[in-house]
Amino acid sequence: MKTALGLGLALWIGSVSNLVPSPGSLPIFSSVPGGVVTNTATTSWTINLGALLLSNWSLAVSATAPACMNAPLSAITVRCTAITDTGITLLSSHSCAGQFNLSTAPQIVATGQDTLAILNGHRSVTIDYTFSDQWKYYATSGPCNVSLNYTLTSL
Amino acid sequence: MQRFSQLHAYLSLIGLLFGASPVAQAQIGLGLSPMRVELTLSPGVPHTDSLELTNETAAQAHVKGELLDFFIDANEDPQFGVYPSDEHSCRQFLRVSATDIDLKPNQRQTIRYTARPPADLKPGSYHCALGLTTQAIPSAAGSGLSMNVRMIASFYVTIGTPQYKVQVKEIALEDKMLSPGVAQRAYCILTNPGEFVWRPKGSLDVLEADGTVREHVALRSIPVLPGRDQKFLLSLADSPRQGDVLRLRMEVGNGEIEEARVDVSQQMLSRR
Repeated sequence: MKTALGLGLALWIGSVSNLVPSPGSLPIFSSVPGGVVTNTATTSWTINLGALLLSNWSLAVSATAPACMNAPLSAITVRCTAITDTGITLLSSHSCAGQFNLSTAPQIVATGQDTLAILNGHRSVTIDYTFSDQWKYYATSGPCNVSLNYTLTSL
Repeated sequence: MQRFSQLHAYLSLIGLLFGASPVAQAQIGLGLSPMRVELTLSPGVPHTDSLELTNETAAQAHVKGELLDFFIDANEDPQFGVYPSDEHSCRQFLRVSATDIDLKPNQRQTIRYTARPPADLKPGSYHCALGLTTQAIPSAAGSGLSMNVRMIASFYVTIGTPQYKVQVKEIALEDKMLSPGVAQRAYCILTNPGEFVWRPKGSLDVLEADGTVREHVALRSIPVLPGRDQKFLLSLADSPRQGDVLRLRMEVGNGEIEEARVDVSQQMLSRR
């Protein structure tokens, strides 16, 4: 919290550091048409002490326009499988959203609320990306890349 | 079809692998403080302050900043974009000092912002956001999904003395398919007919006929923006029964407890 100079009052809420998606990229290709393949990524961040007060948060995932011409983004499903907190996290709550098909529109994968200041709080959200291959998707001899955007918000 | 299938398999085996070790790529790591700024200002009086953006990796990062409008949709998902018709946006009178930011490894960058509410701005609350997005790092050959992060700093500017107006539009049970572990989902739609944003603090309780609380689910602390309906979703561990009551109790910042009740009827249950 902070009081600002001037006529108004300023309230600062929420401060995070080290927002890191890991790994930085995932291979998500299939050699088995009709098969299903899953790979896992985590996104983590540190919650800074003293800047939280009834702060809600949400983590959303979207993709940029697909570089793959042979398979739609919706062939990839996104599912939050775990949220872990370390450090002292008093009265914090969080939950995974239901699974969804990847699209260019941001969709919430996990949400939560931090009620009290947290000491050395570190949060990690684990996400499975599952590609459902189909015979109708043309095979390619080279990789195609999809950029995923993680949006961390505290509204 | 058979030839196509064989071709597909052949090319797949030559060129594509799944489940190999993740390809090494420069990692992204950003910090932002604060993530939410609430300002109480006077019309015509500018206010300047700053945010702090940090690159917490050993690699250079390029970050693009853009001012955005936002709202929260019926799935409680925040949606960011440019919505010119939003009368309660602060995007038009907020400016930031940098929108293309090159960050050296472990560099800390101050981003100054100035809010200049027009002199004739009517009392109310105004909201907008600054999106800070890392630019895609070229992927190594063979990679599939590459990751970027976007951090959002949200701004709420209050002009005048807040007066909260609250309406409960609907309390009901959802009829959608549910995720595993959730017996039923209830929702309530709250309307903000006023000019000031508010956040409900409260819960939806499932009461048995004798008044016993069977389930208690807290509302998420999301803002109900001026002039909007906001849907709140509440996952229930147990399905309500006929004769139960859904009771919403909340407070929005004016010191008054708002309460609304709906009987769980056979008709409501049959719609699921």
